[in-house]
Amino acid sequence: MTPSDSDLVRRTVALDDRESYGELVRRHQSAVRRFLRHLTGGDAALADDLAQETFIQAYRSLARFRGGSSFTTWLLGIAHNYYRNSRRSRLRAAEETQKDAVEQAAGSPTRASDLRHDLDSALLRLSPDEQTAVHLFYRQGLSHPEMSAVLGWPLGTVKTHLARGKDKLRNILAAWNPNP
Amino acid sequence: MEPEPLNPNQSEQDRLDEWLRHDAAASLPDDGFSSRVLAALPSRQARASAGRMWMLPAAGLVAGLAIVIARGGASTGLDVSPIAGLLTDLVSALPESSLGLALVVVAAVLAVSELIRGSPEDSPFGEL
Repeated sequence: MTPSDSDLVRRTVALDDRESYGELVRRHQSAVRRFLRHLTGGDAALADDLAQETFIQAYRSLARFRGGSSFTTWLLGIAHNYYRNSRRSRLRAAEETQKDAVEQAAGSPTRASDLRHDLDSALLRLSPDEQTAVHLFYRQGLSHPEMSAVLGWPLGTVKTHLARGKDKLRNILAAWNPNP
Repeated sequence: MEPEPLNPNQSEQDRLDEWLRHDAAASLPDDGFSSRVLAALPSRQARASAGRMWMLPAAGLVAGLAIVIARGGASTGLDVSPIAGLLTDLVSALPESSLGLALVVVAAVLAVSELIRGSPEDSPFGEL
């Protein structure tokens, strides 16, 4: 039988079993790295550095995990905090990257038949908070309360950013594809 | 894979939801990431040492408070007589002096066991 996340956490804490922690890393690396890639505007190297720090911090703090949330939610909360702490020093570079991406997206509406491209481009038009809300809800499959826990936002703020993001996406896509 | 064909009966909202969700299950390949994380984990000894770091400032705080109370707060201008009085009342309220001694022994044993075991490092992120 496959051990649950809670079983692996208990084994890691009680026995300092690194194999168990390795299994936790393998299970959750994709969610954490995808979330950080989203936050860093697609900077895979920076995202992986932050993801590594996230898992190391989680290992140090593992005894504090009581299972009040899913292990994924707990990890994503740590990842978000790491990203926020590192953002100040990297803000300028990240803004430049995002600005370039938005300009490129705005300059190529002729590829309107490519829905995937349209959607990715439209997502870049959202505010960072709206992008994060859309990412966590649709790509990571988190519930509103889980998003609230990860981001440290009130539930109402989570719902507002998500609703605004979806409204903007609808309008942008409708403008680019008036006759779908 | 594109989420096509789009059902003309679907509402605009449903289609948008479908587009946004269509690659949610896609996972990133590990590509050695997990191995790098495991190689970078701190040793158990380092974890234990880090976990005990809180005891030094805590001991200093307790010692400082004890000195302030013992001096009656004169050097700090603080009126600690209520605290000193409370401590005196607590001790005198104990039915036997041996009970006070037992409490001290228990506290010492707990402190020593914590030192030996090593507690988890405090996280700035807390428990979710």
